[in-house]
Amino acid sequence: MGAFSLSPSLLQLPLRRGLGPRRALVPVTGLVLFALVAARLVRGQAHPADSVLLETVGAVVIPLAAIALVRATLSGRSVGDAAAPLLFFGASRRAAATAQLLVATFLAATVAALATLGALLVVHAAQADIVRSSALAALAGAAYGALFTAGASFGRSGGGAIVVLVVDAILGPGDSAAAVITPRAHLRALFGGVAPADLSSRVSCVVLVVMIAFGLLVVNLRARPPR
Amino acid sequence: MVIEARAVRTVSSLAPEGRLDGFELVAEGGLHALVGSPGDGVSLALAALAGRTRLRHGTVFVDGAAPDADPRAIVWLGRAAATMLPETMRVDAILALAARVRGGRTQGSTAALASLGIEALGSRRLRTLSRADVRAVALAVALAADAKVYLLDEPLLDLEPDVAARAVHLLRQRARDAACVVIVGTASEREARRLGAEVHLLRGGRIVSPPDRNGLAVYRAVASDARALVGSLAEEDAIVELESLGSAVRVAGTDATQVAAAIGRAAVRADVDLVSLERVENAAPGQVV
Repeated sequence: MGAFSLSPSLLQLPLRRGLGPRRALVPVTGLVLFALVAARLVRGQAHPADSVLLETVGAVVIPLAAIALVRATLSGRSVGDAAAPLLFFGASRRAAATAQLLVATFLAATVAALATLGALLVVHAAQADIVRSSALAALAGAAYGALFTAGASFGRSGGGAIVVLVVDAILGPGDSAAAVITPRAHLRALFGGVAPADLSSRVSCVVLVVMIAFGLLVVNLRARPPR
Repeated sequence: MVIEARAVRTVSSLAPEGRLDGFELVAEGGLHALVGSPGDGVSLALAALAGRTRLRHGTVFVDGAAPDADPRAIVWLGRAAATMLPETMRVDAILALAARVRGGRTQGSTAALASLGIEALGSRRLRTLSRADVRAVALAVALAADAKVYLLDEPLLDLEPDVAARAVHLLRQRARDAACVVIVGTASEREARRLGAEVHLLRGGRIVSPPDRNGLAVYRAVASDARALVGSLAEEDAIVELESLGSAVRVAGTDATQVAAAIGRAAVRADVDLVSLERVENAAPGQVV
């Protein structure tokens, strides 16, 4: 196994990419605005907070923003190809891959929290609900970021991330045991919707943390030096 | 510093890059050139030495350890230089980032660019540069690193002549450091000799016997304008040695067919008439170009 040294300088390049205007800023801003508009539209209805979180923020905005940020962080390439400049500069494969995952995960968590915060402010939700839901959204966003990055370690252009998104969209809406493997189902449960396989909120939180760890593991295994 | 490859066998997923089949190399300090086409496996050999490709068989060691044991000790610049640099960043920022990732084991960005005479590119974004300038910047990043092994695929390709001349000087300078190994991949044996490198011919994925000066195919060409023919022949990669002999020209290369074809092409290009062309055996060595 090669040397592993994760210096802060390794985060700079993926961070620049992730915050780049073309690939990330435009779609993510659009998605956050979509959440705000949806919140404004449901404000007069009964349970507007539940409605906007379950039907818009959790179901659409967080997963799509996460995949947009992951693709931007990787410049639309696979984890391995996107790491080429860092390897050229002398980073190890594992450090470069881990740096990219950390940045994608952080950005996805931040945007998820901000979108949730904004939507709940628009519907005048209770302060405690805003804080709690934003924190849970950040956790789910991080899980999405880690899983999409792990997916992007497969395929020439990181197409594995799209596969993860499709699986999440197909299995996530259900409440069966199969939905347990998707962030969507756990986020829905944490936002007050139906829990997958009747799991408690605490278990859903633990599963989302496990998903982040799983993504980190996959990316590191995929970044092993060729033998 | 020793880099060695033993019985390496591997296949590239990219078809034009060919395969390695029993590739063996021991390079102990100095400047070395792997000479061959991409189909002969030159790019793949450099990637294998850098530990960047999966080996089906064989081993690669850098000072007795796996190539990935110390990633900062090796600089590998592949043929696709543009993919190895972040296109949205300014050139000076790229060099500064490379310095930080290497933990200070590198030259300053201004000095690195100045060493190739491209300091004017420092404030430009990479995506605004020409292909030649991108390659020059990539080479500047590579040579700024304080590494032990430099694996450079076609380092002079596309460079402006003055940048290429400075690059040749820098490569020789690096190679003089006893603790460094510089291995360049090139399709041009003439370029390898220009660098003053120890030549390793790669054919069909393995090193073949080094070219023997006595084994060169030598031709004597008499032309209506020998000087113009010499000038035109200097552009031919197949030509290893070239010497003007008054109205005649002595031309040598490793492959007789390619040398003859190159003379014909050069004559057409220079618009001169070939009065005679004959194969000369056991001719005295001429000037290396």
